[in-house]
Amino acid sequence: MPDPYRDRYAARATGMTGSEIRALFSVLERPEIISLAGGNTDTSIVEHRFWECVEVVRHRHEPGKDPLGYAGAGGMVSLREQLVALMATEGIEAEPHQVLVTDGAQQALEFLAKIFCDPGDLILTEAPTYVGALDAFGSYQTDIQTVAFDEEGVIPDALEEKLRTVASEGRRAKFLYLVPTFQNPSGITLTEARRPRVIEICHRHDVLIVEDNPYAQVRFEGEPVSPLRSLTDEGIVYLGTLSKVVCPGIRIGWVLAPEPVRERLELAKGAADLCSSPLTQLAAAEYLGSGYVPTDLEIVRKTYRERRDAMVDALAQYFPDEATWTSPEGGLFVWATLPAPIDTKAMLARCLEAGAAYVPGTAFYPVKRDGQRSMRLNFSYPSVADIDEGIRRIGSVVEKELEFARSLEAE
Amino acid sequence: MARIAIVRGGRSLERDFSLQSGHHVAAALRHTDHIIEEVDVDSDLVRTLSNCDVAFIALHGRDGEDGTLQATCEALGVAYTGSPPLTCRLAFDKGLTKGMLRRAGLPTPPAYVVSSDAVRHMGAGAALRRAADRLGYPVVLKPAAQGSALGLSVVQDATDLTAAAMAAFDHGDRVLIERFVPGDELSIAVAGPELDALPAVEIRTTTGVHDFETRLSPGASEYVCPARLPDDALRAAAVVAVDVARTIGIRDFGRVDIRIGPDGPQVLDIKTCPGLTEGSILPLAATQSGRTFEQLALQIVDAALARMGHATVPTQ
Repeated sequence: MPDPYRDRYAARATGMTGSEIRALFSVLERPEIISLAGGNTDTSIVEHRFWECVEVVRHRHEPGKDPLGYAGAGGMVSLREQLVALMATEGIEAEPHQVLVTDGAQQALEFLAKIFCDPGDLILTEAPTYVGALDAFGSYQTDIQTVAFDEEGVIPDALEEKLRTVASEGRRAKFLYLVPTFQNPSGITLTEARRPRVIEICHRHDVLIVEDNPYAQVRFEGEPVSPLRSLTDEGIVYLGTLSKVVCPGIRIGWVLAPEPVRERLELAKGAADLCSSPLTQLAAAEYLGSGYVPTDLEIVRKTYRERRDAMVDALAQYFPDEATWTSPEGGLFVWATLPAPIDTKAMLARCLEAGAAYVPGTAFYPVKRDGQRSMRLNFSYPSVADIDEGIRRIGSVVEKELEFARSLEAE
Repeated sequence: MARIAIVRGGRSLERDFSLQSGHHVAAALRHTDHIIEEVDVDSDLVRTLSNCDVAFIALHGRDGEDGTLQATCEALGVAYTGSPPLTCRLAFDKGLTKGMLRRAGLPTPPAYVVSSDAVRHMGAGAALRRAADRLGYPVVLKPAAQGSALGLSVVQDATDLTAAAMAAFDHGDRVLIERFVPGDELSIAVAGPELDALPAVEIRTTTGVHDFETRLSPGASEYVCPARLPDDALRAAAVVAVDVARTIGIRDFGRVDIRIGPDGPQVLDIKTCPGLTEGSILPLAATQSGRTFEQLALQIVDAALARMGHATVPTQ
């Protein structure tokens, strides 16, 4: 496309790439496609009560709580108090003034890259990792490198070795980004046993940890695992969000960070958008304070558990024996990996024809040739019936692909 | 005043492009006294088209470029823009196109077509490998019938051939394996009753391959018009483009993609419904020729309307 402004862009804007996945999302609005590609929650569960809270906010007139005016950049006090109470249920101790409210945790990722990273600076992540983090960090021209990861989360020995290698090159990672619980895209949780070790290694190498924890409250099975921030308050920045606890449309996230970092982040917040929407901040505070959360979360957990079950049952029924997949105890996603020579990005075209969609694995790696055989499947949004049918459609394409690959390679 | 249904969207991965093309056409034609409606492909499409005077086809990829919609319009007796069904079918199938061009003595890189049925039932995976050896690496693998360079790879050696073939077969049942021709890439739009060549647009990419990913990434490709190539090369390419368009039977408008190789222009692809977005090649070339996009869109509509009344008789 001709772009008359091309010689004016900053270097950081030239690294932003398009992808087939972007094209895919315009096809997803077609009614015949069952999408297992999204990351949406089922907002119908909280919808009714949330609108009640909006009504309460609308009719309440209290000083300092004007939903239609500006607010402080740090976030409204009533919301920060509720967020602190919510974190306490996971064993995290914090004070309201330590919390910075952001537009989703996504905005916090952007700010972290903004305040910490110059072009070429090193960030470490799991592999695969959250695509939104890759986008946010990548837009600051950072060097994103990965640490080996298995079904128990990031591997401490691999982390140790990576940090040593980095040090031997005379470099230091600006931070290690982790989604330790029900990771997006894999659904994998860093085990309780590995957590203190990961913290110890990072402390010893003086590397900041960024703990992104959107999914822990959506645990429908097994025992809760302590957030890293509940184990230490040193050298760690914690990111929370109400996207999964309430709904993503309110765009409420937050950061709990060491004070000097929080201050810089608040300055970045003020410079970016002055403040998060007071209307949604107040409605969220009202919702969290109303006592609805435990009951609504129970419905969320029960619903998602049924859907997770439907998905792993369907995978067992329709995917080939050589395929593997995670069976997370919470969160929104299953990560499935297919045998070679399947390329999930290319296969997506066939799956769309068959009426089903997923996100190809390559989207979740900084090096786009990795993850070619994997796919992220969402179970929180589609119905049980759609999950079964969607996996059936994908499975039948996979079967044909493998059969075709055998024919293609035959001498 | 005519009722114009702009058909855009559809089911292919080019849906987003098509929505943008349709929107751009609609924006241009809204300045005229025609009645404009933008419509998507669904089970009501034929009913909608029955109530319009002309279908402006801004549908890329399957259905819009393979002759499906054009044949439906003919059966329905509704005027439509662009090339007739047979031309669309020919141009959408790169294997058939190559055959036609070679028969007419027009330059195009040597290539072979392998179908998925032949792979499945005749062991033609081996034929694909043999074809690559005969053409010599690097080779280009692409689906024989697909737009926007979806599923296209440039394969440097035999180790990547299977993966590239799988990706190409994911986008179509027949795959073209073609000799890679190095050189400058040009796109030449043709328009009007005589299919005049519009000014050539030079395509520059950061990766050297104008594939789907490159087309979607801001700044990864650059369209330069007028092209910064020697006049004689541009003239030769324009002559070839017009010959190709006439040979294939392009009507109203179209686009011919050409690479200027060591032996002169080589035809890579033909589009019967090229991109019509604000940033697409055809509108850019039209502007360079001193026309507005509105004038071009009106010319296309007028040509289709002029054919109205004849459309109940199959044109080919």
